[in-house]
Amino acid sequence: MRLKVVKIFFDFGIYSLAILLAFFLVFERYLELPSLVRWLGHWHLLILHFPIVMILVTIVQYWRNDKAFSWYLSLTTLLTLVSAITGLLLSLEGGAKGDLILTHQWLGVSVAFLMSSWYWFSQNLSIPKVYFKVIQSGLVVLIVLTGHYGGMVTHGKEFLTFDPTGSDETTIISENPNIYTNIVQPVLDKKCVSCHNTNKSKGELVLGNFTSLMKGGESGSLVDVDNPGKSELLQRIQFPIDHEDHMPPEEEKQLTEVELGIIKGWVEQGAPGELYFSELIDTIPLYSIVQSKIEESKKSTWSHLPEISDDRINELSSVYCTIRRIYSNTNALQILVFPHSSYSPELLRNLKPIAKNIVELNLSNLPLSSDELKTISSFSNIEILKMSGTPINDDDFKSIGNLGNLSILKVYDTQLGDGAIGQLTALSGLKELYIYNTLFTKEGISDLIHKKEGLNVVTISDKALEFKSVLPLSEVEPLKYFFREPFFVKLKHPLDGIDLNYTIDGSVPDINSPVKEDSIFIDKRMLLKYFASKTGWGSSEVDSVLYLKSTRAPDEYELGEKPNLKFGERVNSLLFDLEKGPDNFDDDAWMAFRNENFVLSCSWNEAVNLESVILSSLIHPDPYIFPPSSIEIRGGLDEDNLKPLGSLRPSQLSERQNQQLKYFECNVESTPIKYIKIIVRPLQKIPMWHQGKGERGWFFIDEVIFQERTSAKPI
Amino acid sequence: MELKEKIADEKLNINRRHFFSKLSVGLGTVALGSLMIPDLFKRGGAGIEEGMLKVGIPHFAPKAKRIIYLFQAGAPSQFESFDYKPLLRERMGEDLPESIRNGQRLTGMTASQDSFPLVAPFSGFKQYGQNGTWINDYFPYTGKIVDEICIINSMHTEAINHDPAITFFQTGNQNSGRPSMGSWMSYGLGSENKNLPAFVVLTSRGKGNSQGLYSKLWSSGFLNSKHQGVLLRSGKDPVLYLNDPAGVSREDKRVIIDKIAELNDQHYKQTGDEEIKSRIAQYEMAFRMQMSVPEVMDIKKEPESIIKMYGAEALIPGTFAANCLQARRLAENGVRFIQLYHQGWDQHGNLPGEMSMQALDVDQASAALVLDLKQRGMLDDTLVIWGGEFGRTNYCQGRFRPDNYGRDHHPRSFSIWMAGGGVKKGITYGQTDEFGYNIVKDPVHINDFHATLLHLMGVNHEHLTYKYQGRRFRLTDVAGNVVKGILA
Repeated sequence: MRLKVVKIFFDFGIYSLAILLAFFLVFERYLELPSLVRWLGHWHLLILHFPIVMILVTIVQYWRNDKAFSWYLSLTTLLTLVSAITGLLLSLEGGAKGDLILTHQWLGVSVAFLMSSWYWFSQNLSIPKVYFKVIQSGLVVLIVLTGHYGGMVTHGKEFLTFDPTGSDETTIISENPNIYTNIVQPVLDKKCVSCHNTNKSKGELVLGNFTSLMKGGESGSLVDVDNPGKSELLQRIQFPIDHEDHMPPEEEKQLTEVELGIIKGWVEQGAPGELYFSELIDTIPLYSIVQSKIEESKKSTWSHLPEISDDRINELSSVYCTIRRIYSNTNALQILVFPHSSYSPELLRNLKPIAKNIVELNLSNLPLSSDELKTISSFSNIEILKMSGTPINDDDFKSIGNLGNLSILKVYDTQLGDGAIGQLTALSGLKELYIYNTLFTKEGISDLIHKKEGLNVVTISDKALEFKSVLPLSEVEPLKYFFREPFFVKLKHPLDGIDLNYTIDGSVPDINSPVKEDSIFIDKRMLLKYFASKTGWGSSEVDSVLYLKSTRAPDEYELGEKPNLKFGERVNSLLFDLEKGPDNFDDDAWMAFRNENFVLSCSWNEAVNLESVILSSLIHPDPYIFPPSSIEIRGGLDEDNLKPLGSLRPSQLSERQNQQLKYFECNVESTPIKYIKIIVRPLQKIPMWHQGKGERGWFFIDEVIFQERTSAKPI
Repeated sequence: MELKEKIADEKLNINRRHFFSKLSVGLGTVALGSLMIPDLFKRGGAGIEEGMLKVGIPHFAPKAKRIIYLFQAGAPSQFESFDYKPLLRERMGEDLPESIRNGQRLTGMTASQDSFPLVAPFSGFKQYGQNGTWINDYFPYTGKIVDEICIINSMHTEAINHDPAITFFQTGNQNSGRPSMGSWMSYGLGSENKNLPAFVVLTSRGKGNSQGLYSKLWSSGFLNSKHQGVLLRSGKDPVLYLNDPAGVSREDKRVIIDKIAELNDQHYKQTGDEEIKSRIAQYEMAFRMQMSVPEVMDIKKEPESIIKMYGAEALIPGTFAANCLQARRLAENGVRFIQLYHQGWDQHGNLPGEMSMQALDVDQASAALVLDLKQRGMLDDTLVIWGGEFGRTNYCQGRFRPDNYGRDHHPRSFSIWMAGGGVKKGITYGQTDEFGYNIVKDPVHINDFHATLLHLMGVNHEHLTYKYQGRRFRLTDVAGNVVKGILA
């Protein structure tokens, strides 16, 4: 009874799985599987082995008439179906299916359905035995084929093909290979020479070397230089595989796409014997094929490096020592060490266990000595070494040893010089040497280039020498424009060795003008003009500073109308604080007037005689800041009886300009005064060219300077 | 899900769904992986982080290890730089034919304009280099290095205003919120130097009309915040709040950071929020940056010949020239992505005057950077990019004046250049029509540009993904093709 239940279970299991398999096959394209189901597919690689054995066992059991045969049959059918379904699930993972997978899939599916039909027929006792014989032999054949294709899917097409020559994929190709010798001939050797050699020259053709290839065979020359596309060689390899004249013959190993590309590209170049990679134009397909061959060859050189685990890498890494694989799964390592206070040569010695894996090492800006160089000499696979900005010199460099793989060495910004030429020459693989800003002499460099052919020595770029640079302006310290007490200023420049010439008499300075003294004494109104010069540089522009001496601040002062509050509150004392505002009108240094006049009344306890009144102002037409329309000065000894002493109507702007700091200087009649009143009217109507035409302009002021009359005429 | 439940879930670091999905993927990967990666079952073997992708290592051997992006914010005109169109001089003042404009949308600034008079560049063009490439007189130094660079005249974008356009360039999307490309690089390739951020930003400003820059342009978006760009300022404190406050010694700081890390760690165990972990790491990094940043930023050791090359402005912190020099120093110190922005290229008016000043700011230093990298053997693995967010119109904005004109925004075609890092030297790629309005050959979209950048860095742009809000995001989203024609 219980057995019957199990039997029913098997029946149902087999039918439903068969239906499921059929369903998957039909709707494969529309399937979007959850990851758990997809994961089941991964078990295909394990499960598939059971049906292979079980089917064979079942066949044997059938002929032995074993009692348990029906159980074998049920179990095997079930396993076969499970195996087929998981296989199908696995195949859905890899994107588009290749021919191999498709063949394997349909063979596998056939096995599953054939097995199911055996199961189905075996329920019916009236079926003649011959049917089973057919099914069984079919199964055996199919299993062999399915297994064969399956093996090729997992291990590659070539895996099951016996190749007595062994794999020669790892031939080392130099950086600049000869296209025929290093690229084309290996293809011919692999795919053609077995039939076209001096012993066995089918079609009287020998493809073992360039001369015999050029000679051609019984159907004439292989290459048509004038019309490469029509060449016999190209036509033969490009015929469809079932074409009678197709080469290699159908039953032989065919050219891969890359190999086809190589021969095609080479013939299209006119099939030259002496053509090097560096001569190829980089837009043709042959270029990229050869380039990837070179890179492959490079990778294969790295494939000999000892295995290294991520663990080991993490162990040896620190925040100041970055160790990375050059790309995903290679054992070639790139190591960068960054300067830090606790650095010691010990760090490098600790890397000795992985010495063979180090391909790139960056030790720039570290305090290196011969100690480290000794350690480095054991890093035998190193290809790129950077030691720029380190204190190494010729003596230290003697410890470098012979690193045969070292191809790029960077020692710019060091004390290395001609004394290192001996060691450099001994580095047999050296291709590029960077020695910008070192002690090498011109003679030394040409000697080195002479001794080591093909070495690219990079010093300062010739182009860079054409770069001209104009010196920046000097800075004047302190930054001060208005003063009451005399003071000193200094000219400063960010570069060393600069000549700073200046004048204080208003004339334009030249190189004969006084050279910068330590400090320049400012005791009166003075126009300082200066510029910087240095050999090899363009001289800086001439810049100037006008120093304005103000008489003592008035003892009392008062504004007639308050400044416009749009820019916030201001204290009146800022008009006499000797600070110059910046060219940004939004700064607290500025007072603004527009609908109100600037009316300033000042008084001194003792009379003064003024030469002029200077208003420090700002002009910036974009935000409507213009010169005022008029400035009027009244003064006298009697507060209630002020006489006009001077006036000014500043010229207006005729076009847009950028912001500019501006002094308005109004001369004053010579007379002793105790009281003064300054009236400034902002511009009433902005000129027509401005977008605010007809509106009022703003007047901005940050300082009022009263210049006292002296005997000397001001500049 | 209720917030409470969410928090409870987070505590477990994993919920039922995660459990099943991770279990299935995990086991499957283990089975398959063990066949392929021999190291897998050794202690601490090849880790599988952040989804299925093993991040932090290139997918294949990279051509470029780092990128220096000289972004010209505001969009420099291609007609006064690298796209030489003699026809504009012949037909100066004539209206742009409607057949050429072909319904291109206009910005609000020229929408009301009733004519579109073509305007020729005010400045002349000269031929440079082995291929006789035409370059505008505003860029004589770029002319000197033309044999080192690859000029692309066929860039195009979809955005027509600054903010969406620059956001598109930086993040691959016009809407803000996606990670910046520097953050993607940091996420995908990791950092070479653990003492400096992998993604650094430097800004400078020219005298021309400029548009704003916002920190969202270097934000890490939904990626872990450790991938965010770090803005280094000019002057005394390159990074704000990095210096120890008065009275706090470095030893004290160490203790403080350790204690805070302990507290944060407790918090992490309670909530399972990954951002807490990255915060701990950021504090550590900041501690180390206190030493490393001032050293990198100090240009006192640079020889005078270098200063002369970049131009004397390199001595003045905060200028484009100074930033170019800093960029080289950062590159030497293992920073993965160095983003410069130079503002002031938005010439709607006064183009001749402003453009000449802007070009003066950047021309020499950009060229010097390329040559300096070359003489240090770094140009082979450093990609330098120069360009803005879109182009400018071939017609004049506002009143037509041959000697003082402006150009409006133009997304359909513009020019950038790249140098080094696996890009072909001395070529011009792509072509616009005679009017310089439409692309006629080899268009390069922003997505293509991003795909190419990632390719040069050894990353397959379709495989660099991050799962967020239920779907996987890429820098190139669902588009982008590697521009094979410029690969060396």
